[in-house]
Amino acid sequence: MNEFKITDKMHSWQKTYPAWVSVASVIVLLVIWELICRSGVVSSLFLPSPTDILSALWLMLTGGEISTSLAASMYRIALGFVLGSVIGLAVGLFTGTSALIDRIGSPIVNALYPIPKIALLPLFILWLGIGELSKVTIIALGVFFPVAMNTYSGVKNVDPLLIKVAVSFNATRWMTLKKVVLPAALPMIFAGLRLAAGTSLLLLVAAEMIAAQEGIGALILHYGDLMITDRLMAGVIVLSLLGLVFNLLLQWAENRAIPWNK
Amino acid sequence: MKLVIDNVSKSFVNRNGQTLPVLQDINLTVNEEEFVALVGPSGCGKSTLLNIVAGLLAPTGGSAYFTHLPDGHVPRTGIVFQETGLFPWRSVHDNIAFGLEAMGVPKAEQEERIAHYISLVGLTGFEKALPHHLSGGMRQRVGIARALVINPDLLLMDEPFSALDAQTRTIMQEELVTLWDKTRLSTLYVTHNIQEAVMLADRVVLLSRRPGKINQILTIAIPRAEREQTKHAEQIAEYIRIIWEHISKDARAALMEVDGHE
Repeated sequence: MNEFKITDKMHSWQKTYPAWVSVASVIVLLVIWELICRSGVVSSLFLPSPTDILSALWLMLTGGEISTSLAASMYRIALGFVLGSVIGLAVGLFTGTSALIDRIGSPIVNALYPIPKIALLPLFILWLGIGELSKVTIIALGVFFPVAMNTYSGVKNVDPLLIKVAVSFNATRWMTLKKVVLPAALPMIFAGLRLAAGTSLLLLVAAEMIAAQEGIGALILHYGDLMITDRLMAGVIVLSLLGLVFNLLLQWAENRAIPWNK
Repeated sequence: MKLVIDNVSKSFVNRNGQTLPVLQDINLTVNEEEFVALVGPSGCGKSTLLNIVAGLLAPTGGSAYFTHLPDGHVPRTGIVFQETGLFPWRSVHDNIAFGLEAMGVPKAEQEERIAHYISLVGLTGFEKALPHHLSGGMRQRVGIARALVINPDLLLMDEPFSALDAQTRTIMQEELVTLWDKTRLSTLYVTHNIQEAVMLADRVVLLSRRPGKINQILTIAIPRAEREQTKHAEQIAEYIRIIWEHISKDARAALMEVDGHE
């Protein structure tokens, strides 16, 4: 008798693995790293072992070194990020919705966008002094562009049907902007904020390496000069954690702000 | 109150600079408490005409206006859109509230009116749900409630049930008949579904295609509430046959159109 058994052809696409596989892969990587360092193949000066880095990190934490650096860095990045994103949001929103402001503002934004922002730091130091202001400004500038660009394209790509709906109810321009265009553009705006988070971290470290007494960037450079690599790596870990927390915060804010975006 | 469509024409200019006439010399009046259906194959410009009446598109020639209005009354138009156009970030309740917010209706009165229409369209218990949690039929009920809650003088419906499956569609048609008898709003209803037009409308306006012209106007002489009854089945079928005879040639031509769009 001729039979044909029907099988699930989607199976290979829908396979799942438990979460511990990810945890295990990280542990395996760390163990291999540790073994390489212990075997003496690589000098600990060039690649300190994970346990060395951890104990250095512990010493720096208890010694208070991390907290002073971290406080200085977080102050700069928080201020710069908030400033840059608020201004970027406003500029993107208005260039995206007003044909006139678009014509006036877009060429300026597009001309300034490709400049690597760190190149402007010497200029800012000249203008604003070597203190906090020049660092905060460079971070704000780096944040401004991705946020403004993304807000602009988010606003430009709002479903015209939703604007039609608002207009059909005689909603004013301001109400349409606030209650329709802005929420519709939020997913793009958050994508911009996440891009900006990466940029801001980069600019923070770069600015601190060029001119700062305190801060994680200055700390890393300092231990690099002294060739104390385990402490240098501890600083890098702090940076990685900072970036991770930053991302989690943004993710949390995004989930709160756009629950409809499933 | 009457809606008058006076010699309306609309043409678009395409990329090659050619002028494409979409609507030509449309003359039509929608009377107080009258339900008029616009029927035609795709490309006949029926949605374009509806958009002109909605004030979402300017005609190239002629005009659409209201007459016989009470002194000082500014007419309102409620629109039910084809793809619903619900704001994905607003709950059922808040979507319905949108038009009232635009009108500046006090909060307490808003709540009263919203509650009334939510129960009228059978959405009680779903006030807090977001659109993506609802089925297609329920979403369009929200769309209908949103259009009705502003107490419009004219109701415009642009193929409101075309995205629904056939069974839901039949149910929604019956519900609309009941609902319409409660509100008796002057209604202009666009559809390509002949049966739907015959079941719902007092008059069916047939549009020909490219450019859209009024081909014929048919008065459906059966009381709306009785159209489901078997004793009228033969007469209903006759109306459908007459309409199909008039538009089948155009519909076939539309089918063969390569870049046909409305």
